[in-house]
Amino acid sequence: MAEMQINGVRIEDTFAEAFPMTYTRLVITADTPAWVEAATSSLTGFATSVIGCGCEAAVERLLTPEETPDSRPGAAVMIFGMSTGDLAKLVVNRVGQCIMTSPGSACYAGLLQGTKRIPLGGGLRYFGDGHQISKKFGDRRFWRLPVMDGEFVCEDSVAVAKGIGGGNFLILAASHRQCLAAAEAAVAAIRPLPGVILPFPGGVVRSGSKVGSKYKALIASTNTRFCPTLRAVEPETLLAPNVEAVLELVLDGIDETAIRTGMRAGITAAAAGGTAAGVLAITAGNYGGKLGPHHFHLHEVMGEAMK
Amino acid sequence: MSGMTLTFRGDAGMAVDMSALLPERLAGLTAGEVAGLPLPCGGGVATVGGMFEVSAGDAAEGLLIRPGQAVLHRVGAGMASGRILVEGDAGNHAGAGMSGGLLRIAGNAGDALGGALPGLPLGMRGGLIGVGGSAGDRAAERMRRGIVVVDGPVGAYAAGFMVAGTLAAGDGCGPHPGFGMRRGTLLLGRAQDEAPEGFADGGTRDWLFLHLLRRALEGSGSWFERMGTTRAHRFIGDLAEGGHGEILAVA
Repeated sequence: MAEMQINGVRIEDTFAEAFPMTYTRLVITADTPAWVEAATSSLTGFATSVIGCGCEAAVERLLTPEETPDSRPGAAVMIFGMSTGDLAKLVVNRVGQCIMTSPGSACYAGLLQGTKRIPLGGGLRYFGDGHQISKKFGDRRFWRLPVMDGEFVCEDSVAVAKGIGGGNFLILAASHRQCLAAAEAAVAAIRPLPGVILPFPGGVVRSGSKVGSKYKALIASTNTRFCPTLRAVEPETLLAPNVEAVLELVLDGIDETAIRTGMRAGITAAAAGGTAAGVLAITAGNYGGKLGPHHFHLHEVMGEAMK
Repeated sequence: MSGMTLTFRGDAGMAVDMSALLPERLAGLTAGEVAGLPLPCGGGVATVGGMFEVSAGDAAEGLLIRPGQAVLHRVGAGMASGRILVEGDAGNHAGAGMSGGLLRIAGNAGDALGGALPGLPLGMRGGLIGVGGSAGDRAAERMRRGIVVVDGPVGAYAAGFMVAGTLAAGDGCGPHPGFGMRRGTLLLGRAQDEAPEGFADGGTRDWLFLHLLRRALEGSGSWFERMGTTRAHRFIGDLAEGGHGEILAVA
């Protein structure tokens, strides 16, 4: 395939390799946007990678009072796990420790149809010590748990569905500051999109990993081929001499379209300033195509944008 | 409503048991077939066609009942799905034992609205009943699940022996509300100065779940959908039955 450039930024002829995951969506509400933020930042904390955290989570988008079940400010949060069983344990624990504890909060199902359902209030109701109250409106059951600031209202259960985790692209730049600016622009372009989240801090990863390690106990270690400080001693380095920093964006989405749309928006934004802004190339992480069934070829993804 | 219409044309004051005329039972039947069905009335049995003018249409799309001067008991009793609209008043046991669907009564309803049919242990266990006028005694008696919304007042023993579910009465209720109530919610559109017999005063506050109730009633035009507040005075009871039920009087 011919070389591709956007504003002089080289788009490598490679692909992002992604994996099937199971996801759910919660709607969190509170009295004010600030308390929505407090609850959701706690709920999505320590949820960057399934490898170390068990799940990957982030706010999908903020919701207006007109969009939430209880007419208050809210946010849609997506949580990805490796299986329905994993997700069932993680979600009820996180909602119990991070949402139920947050003043004025409530938790609703943001995904009503899916492959299975996992418990929310149905698992937390016993905290009510016999004083919990079930209300069923239409097809949806809610639990009212007495707590110190009134009642914690929580939907009984939420659906889970098949999604995709691990869509990604890497930004190679001439300086750390310029790399970070391009990554921030990419995050800002992806965050408004539906059906896709960026689970890492601020939406950006700086410690990309490779499979395996010289230490037997580790299943993953730093991606030496993209470490600028190892360029001189890493025979398989993928960095040109003028690359000073690399940052990665990892995307989890509800389907291939959501991932592809997110990658396209992010790469377009990252390359918008061109080489003048210090962005030298965009590439992607993969494992040779042998591990993940979902392959997002950068030239295909960006070719659709350039048509 | 595009469905089947039954317009009463019999004698004024005629009492008719309507429990056999449910949308799910009449679905797919022609007007002629429905007209030939037997229906208990006035101590005897007559055909539907003998008492009602039956329009062409499929009851699966909805059943419109024009009661005229008749006393129609057990309208929608045992209904599991579909829609019934009564353009006028309904008699006793409307929606009794109902497990799903929508029953809307534009006028008043008699006793035991959404309650239990005689001899049966449980009342309504699903669906939505809306009443534009008032309802008689023992509304939502032994109710297990679902929502009953009455824009006007309800009579004595409202939500008596309620097991769960919601009865919302826009203009208050008669004596002995929530008698024997185990769980569930009796929501009153009028302030309640004193705790009803068998109930403890739980104080006044905003109730988040009432937003969910309002969303569930969207489009019904009921009193609670029109009322902006979710602030209510809560009374907990019936304490003789464990005290897990509640009467909420809008503050």
